[in-house]
Amino acid sequence: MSTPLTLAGDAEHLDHPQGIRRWLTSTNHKDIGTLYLWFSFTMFIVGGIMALIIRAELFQPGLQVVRPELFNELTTMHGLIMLFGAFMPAFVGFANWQIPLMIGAPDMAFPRLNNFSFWLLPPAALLLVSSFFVPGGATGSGWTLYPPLSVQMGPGMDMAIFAIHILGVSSIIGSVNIITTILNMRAPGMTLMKMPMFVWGWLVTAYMLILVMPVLAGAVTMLLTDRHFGTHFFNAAGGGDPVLFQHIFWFFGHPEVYILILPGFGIISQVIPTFARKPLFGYRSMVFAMCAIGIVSVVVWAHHMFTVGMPVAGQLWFMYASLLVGVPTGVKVFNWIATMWEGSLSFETPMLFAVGFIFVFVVGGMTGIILAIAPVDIQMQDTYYVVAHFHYVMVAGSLFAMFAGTYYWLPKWTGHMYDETLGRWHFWLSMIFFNLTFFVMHFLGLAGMPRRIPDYPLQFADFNMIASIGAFGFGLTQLLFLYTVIKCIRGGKPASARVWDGATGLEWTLPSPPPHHTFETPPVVT
Amino acid sequence: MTETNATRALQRAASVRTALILAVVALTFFGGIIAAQRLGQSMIGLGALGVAVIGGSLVALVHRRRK
Repeated sequence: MSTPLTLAGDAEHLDHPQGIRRWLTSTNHKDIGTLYLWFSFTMFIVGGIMALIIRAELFQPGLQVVRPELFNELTTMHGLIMLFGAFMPAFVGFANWQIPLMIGAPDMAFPRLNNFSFWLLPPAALLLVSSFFVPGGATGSGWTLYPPLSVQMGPGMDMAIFAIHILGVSSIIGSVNIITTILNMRAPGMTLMKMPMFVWGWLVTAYMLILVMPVLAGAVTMLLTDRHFGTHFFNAAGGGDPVLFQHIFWFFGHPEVYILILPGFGIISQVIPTFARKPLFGYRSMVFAMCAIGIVSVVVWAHHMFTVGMPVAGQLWFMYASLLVGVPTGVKVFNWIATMWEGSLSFETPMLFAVGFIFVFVVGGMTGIILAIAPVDIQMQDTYYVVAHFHYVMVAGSLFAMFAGTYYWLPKWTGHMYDETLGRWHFWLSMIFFNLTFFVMHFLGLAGMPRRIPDYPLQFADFNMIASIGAFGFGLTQLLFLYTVIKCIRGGKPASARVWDGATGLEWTLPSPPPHHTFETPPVVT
Repeated sequence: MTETNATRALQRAASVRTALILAVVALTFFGGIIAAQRLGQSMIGLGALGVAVIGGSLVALVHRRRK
């Protein structure tokens, strides 16, 4: 399938518009990648502000900042915006920028579809954010949208459903584009087993998105028909089954976790060999581990539902299958460490974030193993222990990987070196404040503090205060990241083609920044 | 048609084929999950979908391997 090609797009793709038209109509993968990355950062700030309002409310017991209904709306929208508005588009931004450069393709397979899938995002984001201002406010059912609450909520819920539909369509189109690009547009000689790990990470992720996003879309469509068209899929009063929604939701929801982490694994697998100045240890096993994680992730969903009641055989299956995810994940962690072992290591900012990622991701992974055990999970369900666990995986996992990737490729994208001192400050402050925020939540959860509550008993006050201070520190630290990126875009020491002396791969054969059109004549990979 | 244009057309056709297959998989899952619930046989519906997807993938893999 990997037939060589001189240029992917049509005649108008050769056009290079300037000004606002460049950003509105561009079909160039680099421009669209940039749009995705700025959009996701904007949504990260929006979702982050919601998190800070939540933490301000939880700074001390009692109700000080928001009323309980708004608190529920904020927790829901924080989750939805961070997952669908910030993290997923950010990784698609990385994919747009890097995949064609890494496989030697001139652009994505469907450039105009690529533009379309990006421009679906702003209206969806607008729907989500503006739902705060409709009667009844935004949906407060939690990001999991469980019925019967989600069937009973106001028009904000409909806006969330439509937003999820639009975001889902955007994700599916993006995934189709990515898979097609990877399968059909690789440079001659680049076999699947020669592809960079970031590209592998995205190939597996895109397949997972194709399989699970339509299921979520189906679930929220049924929710919509339950709300407005008299069906009773999930409405117990009409013979429906609310637990069924949970099964369908988590059939999407659990693979979603891996959708948000596999591209991150790919980034880390690019960064570590560069700064260890050694090839990646166990490339094949890394590829198979990614595929294994992708496959196992679709058969473990009900570990999110141990407390709804299920047969012991079901509990055992979902418990053991969930524990099984630890094996390929362990292979990856082992291989990253083995790559560093006896390497000529240096700790520039991307490497700091990569090593930090391993540390915090292992913490999140270990608490995941604990939560996978059915009898333990039944005790921990819906406590702050779960909040701590998934933030260790999502924030410190996905986000730290994205920071590593940004610092790693920023000189390539902009043509300037970023300020290394500011980068290091960003890493250390993020690391300290992240742990200050979320590590103490383990103790809150073990002590029994439930999640999604705006008020709490006095015995939880100290740890909540620490978590809130950490959250504000973490939030402010991200302004330092924004400043560092803008400073790099505006100028700095010119970056060479091969920015890092240990870097290998086709993207480093191009000048920094790469010209608007790259690999018009495909390179030959030996 | 020049050799470049012919190659481009071939690749375009291959890309469209791949994209259509993927789109059909997505649409099948979307329609399948609703149909399965509507018919009240969720396990059978999901099972059939699963077998179809895994079977299809196996056939595609074997086909590709033989090429």
